[in-house]
Amino acid sequence: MEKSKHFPKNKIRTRLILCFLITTTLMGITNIYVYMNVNTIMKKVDTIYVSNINLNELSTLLNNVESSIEAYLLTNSSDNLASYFNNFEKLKLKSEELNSKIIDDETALLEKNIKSMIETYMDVTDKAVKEKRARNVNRYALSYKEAVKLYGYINEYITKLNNIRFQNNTKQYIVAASNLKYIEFLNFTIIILTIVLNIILILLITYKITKPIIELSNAADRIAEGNFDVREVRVESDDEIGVMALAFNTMVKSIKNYISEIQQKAELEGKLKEQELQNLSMKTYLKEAQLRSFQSQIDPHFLYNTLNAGVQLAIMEEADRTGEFIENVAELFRYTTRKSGKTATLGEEINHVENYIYILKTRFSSRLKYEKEIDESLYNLVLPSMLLQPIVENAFVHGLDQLGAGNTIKITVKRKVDRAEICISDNGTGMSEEEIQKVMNKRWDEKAEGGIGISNVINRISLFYGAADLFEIKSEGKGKGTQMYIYIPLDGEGEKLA
Amino acid sequence: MRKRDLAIFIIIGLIVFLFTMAIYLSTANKFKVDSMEKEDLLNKENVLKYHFAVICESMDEPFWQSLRKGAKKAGEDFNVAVEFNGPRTTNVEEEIKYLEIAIASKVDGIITHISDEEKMTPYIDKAVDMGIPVITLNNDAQSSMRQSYVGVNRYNLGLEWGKLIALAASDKDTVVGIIYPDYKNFESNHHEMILLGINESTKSYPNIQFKIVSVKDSEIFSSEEAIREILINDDHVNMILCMNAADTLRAAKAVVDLNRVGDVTIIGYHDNPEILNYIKNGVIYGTIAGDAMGMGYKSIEAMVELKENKRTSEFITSKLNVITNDNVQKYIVDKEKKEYFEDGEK
Repeated sequence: MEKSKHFPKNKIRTRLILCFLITTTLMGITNIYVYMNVNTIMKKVDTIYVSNINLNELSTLLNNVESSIEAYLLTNSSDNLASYFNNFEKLKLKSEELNSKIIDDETALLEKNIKSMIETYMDVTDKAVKEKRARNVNRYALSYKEAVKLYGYINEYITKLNNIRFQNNTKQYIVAASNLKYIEFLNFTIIILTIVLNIILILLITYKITKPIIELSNAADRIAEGNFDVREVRVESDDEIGVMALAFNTMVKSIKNYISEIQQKAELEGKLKEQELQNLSMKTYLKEAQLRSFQSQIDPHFLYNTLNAGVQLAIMEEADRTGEFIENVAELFRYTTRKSGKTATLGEEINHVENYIYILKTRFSSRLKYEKEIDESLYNLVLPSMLLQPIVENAFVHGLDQLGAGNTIKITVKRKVDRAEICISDNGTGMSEEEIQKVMNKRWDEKAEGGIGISNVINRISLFYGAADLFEIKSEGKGKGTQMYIYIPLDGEGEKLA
Repeated sequence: MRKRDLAIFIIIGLIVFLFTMAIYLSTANKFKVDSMEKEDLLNKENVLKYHFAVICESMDEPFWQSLRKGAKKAGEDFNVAVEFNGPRTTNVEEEIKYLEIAIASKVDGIITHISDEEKMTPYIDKAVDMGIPVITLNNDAQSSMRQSYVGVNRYNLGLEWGKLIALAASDKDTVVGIIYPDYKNFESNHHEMILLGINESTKSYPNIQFKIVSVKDSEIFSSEEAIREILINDDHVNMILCMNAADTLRAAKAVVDLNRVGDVTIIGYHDNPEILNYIKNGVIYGTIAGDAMGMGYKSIEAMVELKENKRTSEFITSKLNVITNDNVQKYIVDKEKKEYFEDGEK
């Protein structure tokens, strides 16, 4: 609205001040007005009988003159004479106030008559006093008699005037009294009206000011309870509350936007993670496919059958050691073909490793020492097949000094708190930290260097169990041997399957 | 929208408030005006030229009330204040008192009825000595220093009454009872003049005889008693002549009360509405009416002349109206017209 432009700031304050000012002024004006009116009327009422009072005063003065002259004439004392003169002057002064104009009005004429009669009376009394002083007894008695008569007439007229005045004044008084009643009623009405007006005004303004505040606070409450689905607070006032409401609405909107943004982000991240995981398993499957194709590249049945034929031949030629050797080789192939891509028990794996070591022993005479220390309760532990043999092969190929005497490969299986610890240790060349890191980091390298390779083992373990830290290489340096650890979780399916 | 409603409400509220205030103000002011009027009258410069005192015989009598109207009218016409005083019923002492008061009040002129010439003459003389002109009204005090007389010519009045009596009596033997105010020193010579006039106009009628019933006292009841006595005890009297309005009414009432209407003819004085009504009904045969209003008017006129020219005619008579059943209707209409006109001007 136009008006509001004049009060760009502190609108609520202005509004409140205006409200209070209007009501207070209204009440004030009413009160002052009522007071002034009653006051003037009361003053008027007060003056109504003034004319009567004046007449009574005049009568009293006249009476004083009369009694003092009587006293003087009787006693001839100078005191009485003085009091006569005193009263005489007073009467004269008082009678000056009376009307002397000829006006066509009964009371005015009466007043004029009274004034003239007082003059006559005073002339007569003066005369009487002079005659008394001149000791003219007869004359002053006569004058005094006349004065008394005049005194009577004056008093009669004063009474008459007084009565008329009193009647008129009483009429006036009655009118005034009825007016006073009417005005009293009017005053009352006006005060009531003002009060009602003020109350309505205050209520309206208060409601107008507080309604948006209450709405705001309600909305704030709901938001405080975490409910962001509040309707926009509608405030049409153009004051500070309007500004507040606007700010509030903006704030609610921004909070809502912010929350939805966070939610979107979280969703996006989740999706990303899923995709990553998918990618991973894709690779795994690829690897597996690689492995399977590799395994199937050699016809295992052919090899196996050939070797079996070798075993038959050796037995026929009574070459028992050859037969045993070939049988071990055959067994090696058989295990590989049968178990490839499947799980095996720890016992089967150990058996396979021992077959392999027998073949190695046969190849490299008995310079290779093999030791095992196995917790027998773990024989039935299920684990991916072809897990141990590649490690042993690695130890043999890289770790051991082939010509050195006392080369030892040791397999230790221990039950740790929540997992089985399989350790394949050699006392060979050992590995530097650098080499260890190289092996560990090459885990995703596609180019496996012949055989199944360490990295393949590592990958398979972590894929199978879904954990990364299940493989560890320890070495205390060059020439101090290498320990390769495989940790199989015990609380998983593995044990249960067994 | 709400904001406009609020504004409208506030404006309406303020308008109602101001409206009430306005009513309130006007009421309060009205009251102020009411009480101020009196003061205004006194402060106004509508000062009149002279202040005359009129002293009448009896304030209650219709004659004097009519006279007062005439005097008031003259007062307005000549711009003088007329103060009208007098005893309620005839009373010499009181008349003198008012005369004394008028003198002491130093009025500009005194117009007075004379109830007792002997007693009142010294006061009249005193007033004239003091420079207050005096005009006698309706009754004269020829021996005093009064400047002028306004009233009925008694002789003429007697003549008119005589004529009326003759008319009423026609050929019948008639005894006329004259209710004769014969108070001590009370305008005796005037009444003698009246009787002279009556005699003069009836002397050629031998069938008419007179019986004078003296009323010795000015008390109200004395004349009433006299009238009733004559009606009850004297069979011969078949006509009553009353010399003032009050007696005329008393006689009419007595005749009605005693059921002797038609039997006794009443001839009276004055023209107040009651008397006129009796004439209409035939209870009263006829009256002679002094022109009271005219007298009132003329007295003031004469006094103003006296004040301004120092002299006026010494003897001012007013005309006499004879009212009987024949002309009463016309008379009433004329009188009403005149009085209405004069009242209306007040």
